[in-house]
Amino acid sequence: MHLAYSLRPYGHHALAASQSDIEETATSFEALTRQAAQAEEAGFDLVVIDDVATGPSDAELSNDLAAFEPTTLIAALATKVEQIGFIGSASTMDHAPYNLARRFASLDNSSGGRVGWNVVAASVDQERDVEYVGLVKSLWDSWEEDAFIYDKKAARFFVPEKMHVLNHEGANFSVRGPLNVNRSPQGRPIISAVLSPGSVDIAARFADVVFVRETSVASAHAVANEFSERLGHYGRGRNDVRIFQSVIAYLGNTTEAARAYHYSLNQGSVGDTPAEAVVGTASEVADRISSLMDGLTFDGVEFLQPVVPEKDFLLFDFAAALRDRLGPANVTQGTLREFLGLKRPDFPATQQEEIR
Amino acid sequence: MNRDGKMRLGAFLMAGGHHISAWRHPDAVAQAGVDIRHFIELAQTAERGLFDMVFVEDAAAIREKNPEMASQAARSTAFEPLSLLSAIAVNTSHVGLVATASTTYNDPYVLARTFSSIDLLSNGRAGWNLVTSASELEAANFGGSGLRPHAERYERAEEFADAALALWASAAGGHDTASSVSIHGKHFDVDGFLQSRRSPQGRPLMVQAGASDTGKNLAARTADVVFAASQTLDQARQYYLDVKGRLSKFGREADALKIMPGISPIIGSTEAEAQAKYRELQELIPDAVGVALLASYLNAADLSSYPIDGPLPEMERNEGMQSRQQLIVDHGLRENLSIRDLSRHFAGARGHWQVVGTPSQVADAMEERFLAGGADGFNVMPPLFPSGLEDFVTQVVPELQKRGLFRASYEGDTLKGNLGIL
Repeated sequence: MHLAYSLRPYGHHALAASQSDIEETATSFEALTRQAAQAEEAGFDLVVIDDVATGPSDAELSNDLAAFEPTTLIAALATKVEQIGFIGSASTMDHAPYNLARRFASLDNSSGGRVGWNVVAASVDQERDVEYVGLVKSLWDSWEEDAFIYDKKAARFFVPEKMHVLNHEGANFSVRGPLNVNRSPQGRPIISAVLSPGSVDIAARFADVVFVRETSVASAHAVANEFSERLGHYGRGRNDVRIFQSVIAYLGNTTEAARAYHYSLNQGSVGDTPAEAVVGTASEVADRISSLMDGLTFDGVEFLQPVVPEKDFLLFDFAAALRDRLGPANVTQGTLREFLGLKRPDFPATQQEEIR
Repeated sequence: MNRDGKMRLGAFLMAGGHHISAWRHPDAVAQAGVDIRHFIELAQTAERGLFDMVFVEDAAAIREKNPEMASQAARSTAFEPLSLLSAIAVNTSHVGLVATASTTYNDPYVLARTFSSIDLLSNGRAGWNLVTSASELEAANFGGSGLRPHAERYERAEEFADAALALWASAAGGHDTASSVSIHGKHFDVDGFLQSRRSPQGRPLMVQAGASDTGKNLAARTADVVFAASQTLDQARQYYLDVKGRLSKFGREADALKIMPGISPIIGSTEAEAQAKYRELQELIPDAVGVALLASYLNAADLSSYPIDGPLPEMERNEGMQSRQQLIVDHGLRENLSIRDLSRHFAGARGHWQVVGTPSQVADAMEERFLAGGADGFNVMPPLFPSGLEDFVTQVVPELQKRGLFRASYEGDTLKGNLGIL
């Protein structure tokens, strides 16, 4: 059973910034580090950082948004919070494929293999995005596992035969390669996607991890099942992926406190939330989630805080209760791939065309 | 020279060291290129030495096409600069963080936003070394349509720089009223605000190294710092006067732009010890690697078919790095060097000024260039890391301080504040 923590300065509720007891320094690097460190201590496998400010906007940055770009934030956080994994969003329309492959491969090396790319497939042309993600993945296979030998005596830094030139010529991109970053410590960085009817196909081709952020249980199951079935089209199996159900949980020390917390934000209505909402004590919420997921196709829970508190004691209880209902963590240290119990990808020597 | 009479210092970071065969040295940690702690510690050493900044170079491709040749050197892979600086930013507190990024294969909004993010992570210590990409290996990773002519690369760079500066000015915060950007040029369309906040130094520092006429004009118009490569004092002064002389055209004062040529210091407790260190490194260069590196700096396809003990062949001018190429050819002619000697010479310091000697001899050489109007400071390129930087910080920095040529403590908290650029 896997636990993901979605990181936002004040929380995921639309009123989070005005309701939070933390000061405006919530958007600072120190405050975000504190959140990530609490998630690590509570036993979460990974932190998810969405991108909320990708392009020029016609309004100034709103006060409740972090000003940090996700990949630079992850590079910094990984030096301070040293066990947990980090998945960051980047759009297929923002970076050339070579630059994006390079940024994430580099992050994976600097973090010791704890990083994933959450694909934001932003092109109107799905064929282009499919080519893009496939290209990034192939660039990550530029170097074999044991390419670097550092033989000082023989003046041999790497084995030339273990460097692979891609020579990709596609409908949208032409990229020679190889990537000028070492092979990732976890083989390849993790690829993730937020599942929606539009993203099911590209996710089934490439994603190691998917997040289901549907607001109703029925639609969540529908899209997760469709994704699971589609895997077979691409020669992949259910055990090659990890599916996370996203949950916005209103936690309280008592049932009454949790209900009051929910009421203060939503005035009794369900509210406009980005995921399935549950209310109660850590134990009640864990029971509710476990019955939602009973017999179904999920491997983990992505937790969205409605409002981030200054010191999050309930996070520990919540993670412990979920582990109790749904099963323990895979391992407690290693690469993100190891946390998730995913197989290390073999070097696809047969897929590589060597032209020099 | 700067108004305060003190020189500025940058530390040019590289995994094993600037010497092409540094990684083979017995003291070198061969895996340094994938060790983030190595880079963080180098930056912390520079900060102990009160350096203004650390600096990293960039290329969006491997640097040597021939795999056999490339495999004998450590330059084919490296950390990506912007994420590397982000990791360093939150583990240092005063030293500036300057990364190279190309205007040829990036988007102005995305790049401005990313540097802004580093500027905020570091509380106002980020800088962007603006370059245009000239290598064919890079071009092949971005569409493969071939190399853009020099003039067109710079036209795009000018427009890119203006867009980035306008976007940084549009970020929220500070005393200025933010105003939305509207740029519709030949290369870019940008409308709206930068989705970021204003950093404590206002915007990231602008750095350049262009040495062509177009490059020098762009620097005079937009740069706060210029890195340069010059071998002799005469070359350094000529370059200095040339670039500073262009500032008034753009309504800027001479002190508004700092010129910091590279220096490769090899430090020993005696001159003989320093010379021995230099020879030890030079002997680690395989001939083929030296010659291939020389060919790549000259943007020449191949030099291996010419006799290694003979002179350089006549070179045709091409669309690559024009100024660096001329510098190398001139040096070969002036010193009457064979291909082997020239390749070894440049493999050592890569076209930059090399000084081999005791700490006080190194300080003498820097003092002379600084006082004679050849530099406002220096970008220090130790041949071997970490020892070369450690030696500089513990031996040369105190010597410069004793002479009143370098600060005794940081003046401010931001990069621009320490450089004295407002």
